[in-house]
Amino acid sequence: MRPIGVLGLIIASFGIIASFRQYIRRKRILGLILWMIVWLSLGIVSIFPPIVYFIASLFSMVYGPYFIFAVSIMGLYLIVFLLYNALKGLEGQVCHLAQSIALLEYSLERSDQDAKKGGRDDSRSE
Amino acid sequence: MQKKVVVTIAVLNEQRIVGDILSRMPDWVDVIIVDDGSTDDTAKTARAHGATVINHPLNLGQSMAFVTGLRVALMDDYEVIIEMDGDGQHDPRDIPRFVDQMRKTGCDIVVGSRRLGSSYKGEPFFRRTFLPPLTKLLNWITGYQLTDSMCGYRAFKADSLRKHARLLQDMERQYAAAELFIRFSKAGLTVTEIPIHLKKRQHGASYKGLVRYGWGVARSIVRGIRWRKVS
Repeated sequence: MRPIGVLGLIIASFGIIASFRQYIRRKRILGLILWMIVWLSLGIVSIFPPIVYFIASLFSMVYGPYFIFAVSIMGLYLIVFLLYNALKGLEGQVCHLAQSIALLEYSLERSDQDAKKGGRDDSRSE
Repeated sequence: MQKKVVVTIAVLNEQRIVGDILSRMPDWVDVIIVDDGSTDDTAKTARAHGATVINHPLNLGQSMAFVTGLRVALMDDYEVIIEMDGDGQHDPRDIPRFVDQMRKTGCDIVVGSRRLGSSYKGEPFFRRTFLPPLTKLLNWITGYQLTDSMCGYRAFKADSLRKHARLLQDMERQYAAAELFIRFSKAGLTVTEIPIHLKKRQHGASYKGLVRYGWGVARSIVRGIRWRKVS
């Protein structure tokens, strides 16, 4: 096996272990499946590089590395899209949180003022 | 004794004008200032003039600030909640006319119309040109007969908003006027208009650019239509 293959195998191993640990913490099966496909693919290509040409030929592509580029770019688009959606969701949640904080601060301020006013009224009636 | 009318104003860095607006308020109204993440002394100036001030920890958008103001106003027993802009373009002397119109017609919402009234010389081109067809589109969607759908000078019957509290949830953050009217029409709330005069801004510049404003309104309309289908 060539040095680049060894490196790919090491990275794939780390990726597999990290994905399992994430799954144990977060229980997100879809994420585990997607990342396992990525790391296993990397591992297999690292051990058997010629397999890329075979898989590329199944997609009517002559040159194996082109297939890897194409799949990588499409995968990146997907990841960016997922990140974009996640960010939008977070943005909405931050807005609601900030609004809730503002309303809570106002309620607390009002309670303090009402409590002080109540104390003053009590002392006057005494 | 609890006052019957409250005015809510969303502000962003309007330190130079907020004091003037508050000093011209009738003394029979309460005022709630929603400071939408100002970096100047807007909140301090407003408090010095006796207004209740709510601080957003960061800039959330005009419509979010408006909803915050409404939620605070609905905590008390107000009869009428009036929304106005914090840039000095709306005249506090019109407040009694909003209240009178609401009591006379019994409508849930009274909107100030720059078309029925007037606007200052030099009003931005995009506003003069695009607001009328936009209002027509909203009228077609909602069934209302508005002449000015985007004016931020409006009065709401507090009881109507209390009955339909879900109307104020999850709205467009910045330009929710269109979405609001679509939601109101679905809830069966009635709307009327009164003429108002829009003054020229004395300090600062509007944060609404043509592209941002147009995109925000388009988004607001789409959100309103989607909400109407789902609810």
